[in-house]
Amino acid sequence: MRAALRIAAASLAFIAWPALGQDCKAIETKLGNDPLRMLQFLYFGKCLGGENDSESVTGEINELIRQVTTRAPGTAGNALEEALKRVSDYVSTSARERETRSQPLLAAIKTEIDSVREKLTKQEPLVDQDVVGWQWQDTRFRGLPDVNVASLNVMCPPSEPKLCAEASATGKVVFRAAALVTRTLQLSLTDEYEQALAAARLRKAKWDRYFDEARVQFFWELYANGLRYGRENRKAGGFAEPPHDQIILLHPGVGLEYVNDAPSGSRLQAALVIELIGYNRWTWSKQGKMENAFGASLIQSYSDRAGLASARPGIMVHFQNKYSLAYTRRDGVDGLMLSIDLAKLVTKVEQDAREKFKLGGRGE
Amino acid sequence: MPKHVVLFVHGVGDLQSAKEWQASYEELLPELYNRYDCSAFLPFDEHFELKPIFYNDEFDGLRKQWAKAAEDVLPLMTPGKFGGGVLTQLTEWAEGADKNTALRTHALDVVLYRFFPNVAAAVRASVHAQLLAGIKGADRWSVIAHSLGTSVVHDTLVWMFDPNAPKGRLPASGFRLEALAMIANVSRALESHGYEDEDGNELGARWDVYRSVVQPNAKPSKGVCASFLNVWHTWDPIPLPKQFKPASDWPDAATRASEGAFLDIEIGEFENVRKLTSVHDIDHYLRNPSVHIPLFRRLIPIGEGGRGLIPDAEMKKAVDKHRAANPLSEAKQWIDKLKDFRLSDEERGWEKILGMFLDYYANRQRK
Repeated sequence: MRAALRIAAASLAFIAWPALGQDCKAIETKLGNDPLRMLQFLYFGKCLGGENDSESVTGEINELIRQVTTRAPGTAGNALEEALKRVSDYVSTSARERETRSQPLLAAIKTEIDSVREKLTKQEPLVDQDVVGWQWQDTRFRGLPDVNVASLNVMCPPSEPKLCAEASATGKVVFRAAALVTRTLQLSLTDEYEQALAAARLRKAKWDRYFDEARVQFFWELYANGLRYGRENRKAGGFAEPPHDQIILLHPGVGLEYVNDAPSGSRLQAALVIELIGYNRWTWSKQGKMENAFGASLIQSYSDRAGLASARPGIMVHFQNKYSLAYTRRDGVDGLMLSIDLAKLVTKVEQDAREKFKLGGRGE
Repeated sequence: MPKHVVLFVHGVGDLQSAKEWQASYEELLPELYNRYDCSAFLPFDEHFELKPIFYNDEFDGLRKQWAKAAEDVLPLMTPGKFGGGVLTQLTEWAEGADKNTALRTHALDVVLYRFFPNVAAAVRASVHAQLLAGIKGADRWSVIAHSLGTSVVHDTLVWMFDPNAPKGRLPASGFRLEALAMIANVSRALESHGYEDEDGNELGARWDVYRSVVQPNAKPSKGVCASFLNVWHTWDPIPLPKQFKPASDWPDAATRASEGAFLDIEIGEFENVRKLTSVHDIDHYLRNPSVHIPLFRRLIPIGEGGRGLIPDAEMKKAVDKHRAANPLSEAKQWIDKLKDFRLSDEERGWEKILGMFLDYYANRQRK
C-alpha cells in the first residue's frame, strides 16, 4: 500500500512540477506521500523560492530585488513594494486553481504579505512579521500564527491520491511565497547590516591600535589600565568605547643617555630607564586611527659611569607613542636621554644628511 | 548561493591560527551529517558553510609583546646592579609569557578575559567584527561555541543585539541566529558584574547570562536565537563551577513550552580517550550522537522538534551504536581521575577555579 502511495504521489509530483532540479525531484519522489515533510525538505533545499526553483515568479522576484538594499522610502522602496506585490499576486493567481479546502491557508498567507506591504508603506515596524518571522521552524512560520499549515499534513489513501496532490500544490505556493518574502525583506536590511559591520570594524580597528600602536603595556600596567577601563565600562553599561589614554606604571625600558659632565668615553651610553608613573593620551580619528598622541612620565635612569651616581631622576615626554625624550639631573649634572626609536630616527636623519652630502659631491 | 553559515568559536588552547582551528571540525561535521538519510536530500556542502572565529591572536599578541619588551630590557636589569627587586621578577615573568605551557596558553587566557576588561573588550570587538563579516549573504546563521568561547560569544551577542548597545546594533527580528550551541558552557562562571548607568542604577541584567538578550525566544523579534543548546559532559570538570543551569521557566514559560527552544544536553559516554582532556575536547562532544543529532535538528528544523530531519528511530539506532562502542565500564579509570578535578557547581572562589583549570590542563598529556 505504501509503495502504491509513493508511486502515485511521485507521478503526480512529476506532472505537477517538472521544472525542478535533480535534488528537488528526488525529494518529491521519496517523500511525496508525506506532503508536509516533503515541502519542508523542498523549502530547505532551495526548491521553493530559492536557487533551485525554476518557477517564473521566483526568477522575477530575484531579478527585482537585486537592487533592494534599504527600506528607506524613495531609495529602493519601489522595488521592494513591487516585489511584495508580485508575490501577493502570485498567491492570488495560484489560489484560483486550488480547491476550496486550500483557500483559507492561501488567503492567510496573502493577508500576511499585504499586511507587510502596508506596514512598510506606512514605515511601521514589522516586529514578528520581519525576516525571522517568515522563516520556517518545525511546524510553522515563526511569526505568522494565522498561517496554519495543518491542512497540508495529510496522508493519502490509494484511492485518493488527489489529496496529496492538492496539499503539495497548495503548500508549494505557501512555502514559495514565504521564501520570497523572506529574501526580499532580508535584502532590504542590507544597509542596516553594512552600518553594523562598519561600526564593528571601526571598534576592532581601535582596539587593535590600542594594543599595537599605543605604548607597550606590561601586564601590571595592562591590569591598572584595565581597572580604569573597567570603571568606565561599568558606567557605560558595558558598552564603553576603547580608551583614549593610558597610564604608565613602573615601566622598564632602554634608552641612550648623554651626560656631558661624564668622563670622556662614557658620555653617551645605553641606560635602563624606569618610568615610575606617567600618562599618555591620544585622539581617535573617524577612521579609528590614533592621532596627536602625547604623554609624559617621571623617570629614573640607571647607568654605570665612573664618578657619577648610577640612578638619575628625570622627566620624559612621549610623542606619537613611539618617540621619547628625557631630561635627567642629579647632583647638578644634567643628562639627555633618547628612546631607542628616537635615537634610531636621529641616527637615520644624520645618516640621510651624510648620504645627501655625498651625493651633492661635497663629501670625501 | 546563500547558505546556512555555521560559525565555530574556539576555547582556550595553543591554537596558532584560524586555519588550525578550522581543521578540528571542518571534516568532522560533514562526516557526522552524512551518516543520516537526510543528507541524500540536503547535501551538507550545498546547505552549510562552516567558518572559524579566531581570537587567540589577541592573547598571543600580548604574550609576544611582553616577551619582546622584557627581552630588550632584562639584560640591563641584572640582579645586584639596578634590579634584583620585584620589578625584575615581574619583567622576567613577562619575558616567559610566550612560553608554551598550560599556565600561559590556558589559564592565562581565562585570567586575561575575566580580570582584564580591556583585553576582554578587544576580544569581543574582534569576534563581533568576524561574526558580522561571516554572516554576510547568509541564508541563516548559527554559532557553535566551545569552553571560553561560550563566554566570549555570550558577551559579543549582547553587543550585537542588546537594545541599548551603541551604533551598529542589529534587530533580532531581522538577524537572529537559528541555533546557538554552547558546548562546555562557562559563560556563567566568567560573566562580569557591577554595571550601572550615570545615575547609579544597576545594569547587570544586560550581561547576566540568565537575564541578557542571549536567550532563545518563541517570539521571533525577541532573544537572539531560535534554539539554545547547552551541552555538557557529566565528567568534564571545566563547565562545572558556577554551571549554567537556568530555571525551568527560563527565559519564559512560552519559550520553554516550545520544543527545541532550549535543550540541556548532558552526555556521559567516553570514547577511547587517550588523554585526560579529551573529555573536554569539542570533537569528543560533537561525535556523540546525543549531541550532534539534536544540533542538526535545530540547524534544519523540519517537523516537531526537528524530528522530520532525523527521525527518532534513526537517532536511537545511532545512540545505541555509540554506547555499544563505548561502554561506560571501560571508562572507569577516566571517571576516577576526573573526579579529582570536580568542584561544586556553585563554586565561586576563583583561586580554586583557576587552580583546577591549571591542574587539569597541566595533566593533559597524562595517560
